[in-house]
Amino acid sequence: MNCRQVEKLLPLFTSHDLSDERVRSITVHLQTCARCAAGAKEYRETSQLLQEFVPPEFSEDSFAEIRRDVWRQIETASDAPTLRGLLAGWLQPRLVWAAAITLLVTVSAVGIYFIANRGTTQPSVADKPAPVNRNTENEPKDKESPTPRLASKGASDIHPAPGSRPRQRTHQKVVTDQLNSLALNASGHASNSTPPLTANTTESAASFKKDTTKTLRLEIQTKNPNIRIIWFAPGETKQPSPNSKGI
Amino acid sequence: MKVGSELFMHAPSGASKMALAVEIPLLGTALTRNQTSLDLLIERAAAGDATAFEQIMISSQPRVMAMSWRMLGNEADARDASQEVFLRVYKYLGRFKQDQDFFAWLYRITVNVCRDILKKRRQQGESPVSIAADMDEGRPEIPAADDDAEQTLIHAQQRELISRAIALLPYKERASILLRDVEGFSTEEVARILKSSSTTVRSQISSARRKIRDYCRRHQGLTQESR
Repeated sequence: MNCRQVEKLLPLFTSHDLSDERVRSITVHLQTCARCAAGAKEYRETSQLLQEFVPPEFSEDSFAEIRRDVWRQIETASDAPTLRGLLAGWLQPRLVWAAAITLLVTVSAVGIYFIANRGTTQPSVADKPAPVNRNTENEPKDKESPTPRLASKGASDIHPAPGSRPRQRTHQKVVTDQLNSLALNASGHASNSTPPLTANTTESAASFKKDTTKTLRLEIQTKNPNIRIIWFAPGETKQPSPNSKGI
Repeated sequence: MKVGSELFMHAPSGASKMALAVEIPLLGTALTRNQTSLDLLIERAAAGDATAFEQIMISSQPRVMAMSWRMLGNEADARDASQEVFLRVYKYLGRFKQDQDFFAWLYRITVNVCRDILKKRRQQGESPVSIAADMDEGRPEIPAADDDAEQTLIHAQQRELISRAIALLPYKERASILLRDVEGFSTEEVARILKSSSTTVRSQISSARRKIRDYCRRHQGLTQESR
């Protein structure tokens, strides 16, 4: 072992923090090297001085005062609610369970209410105001469906697509739209000369709106005063067929 | 000192159930000899016994104060530190395991509290430590082993040198060397207290000793020249 290696290990040599083998090597080196031996002596003296590094004597009064302060702080801390304490209070298992169950019940109730109302409280077609707009944009989308055309332009809109069997609500809406469309056509025609729709048509439409289960009867006066379109349609179960209409 | 029931609100475990006021004896005279065992005291204190906790404080206060003073360098900070140490002990005594060394645990808390105070002091831009000034104010009794006044003076100067050298050490090296060389823990115990490895602690101790030796060598020469 050379001086540099020994110098590195000397701080630990004096406190016996080295392995036996290293201690033996250093001891051998120190017997032959006066400089390293002096260094080892310095470390021993420093270590002795450290043992004497004692604090000033504290009085018993100061100790008692510290203890009193500790108790006072403990007392103060116990009075003041801490954030952790509050959280712990809020996050008690019982409270969490109760809150979770309440939330679940509320969400379920609201969900059930909306689902139930979706089927019943949809705005009734009878309540819908008839569109006043005369644009053809208000006409039903299925206008171009392959329906048998009638002589009257307005009458072509009253027939649903043959072969299709829409659900009650859809059917009801389509028919109502068609009625509205017809009313438009009729009134458009009447604006030139005569009153728009016949009383029968209005009555039938109104009766249809009130109760879709009854047979529907539509009468439409065409341009030609000698031609009147009369259409019978079953309420909800039967699909109106093109044969049901008569001229 | 009267301790009301509200005192036990934050006691480690089951303390709130103790609703009786307790008269705490100052020097633990109320405790019988059988009850003075440290383990029993810890157990009772953890259960919320204020008397037992007071006894623990009484028995460990000098060590905590001394270590805090060595770490921080002045009495005022040492008092603050020891107060905080016992507050933490009270708070976390419920987590203390009986198979642990209580004083090692206590020293760990002390070192951590001192580290926090040093950090705060550094953030506030205060000077590192003023051990020398504190020693000048309340210079400890120098043992009159030698009647020779010169020897006594040399002794005092050397001790002052050591204290200044320690004050200049980084926090970790300071804690390592104080625990190892002054408090007498083994390197492994120091490593456990500081939550570090033995190798690291050994390296810190070695570095600290070297720095102290160098400081003393440098300033001792100056002191001798000035005389």
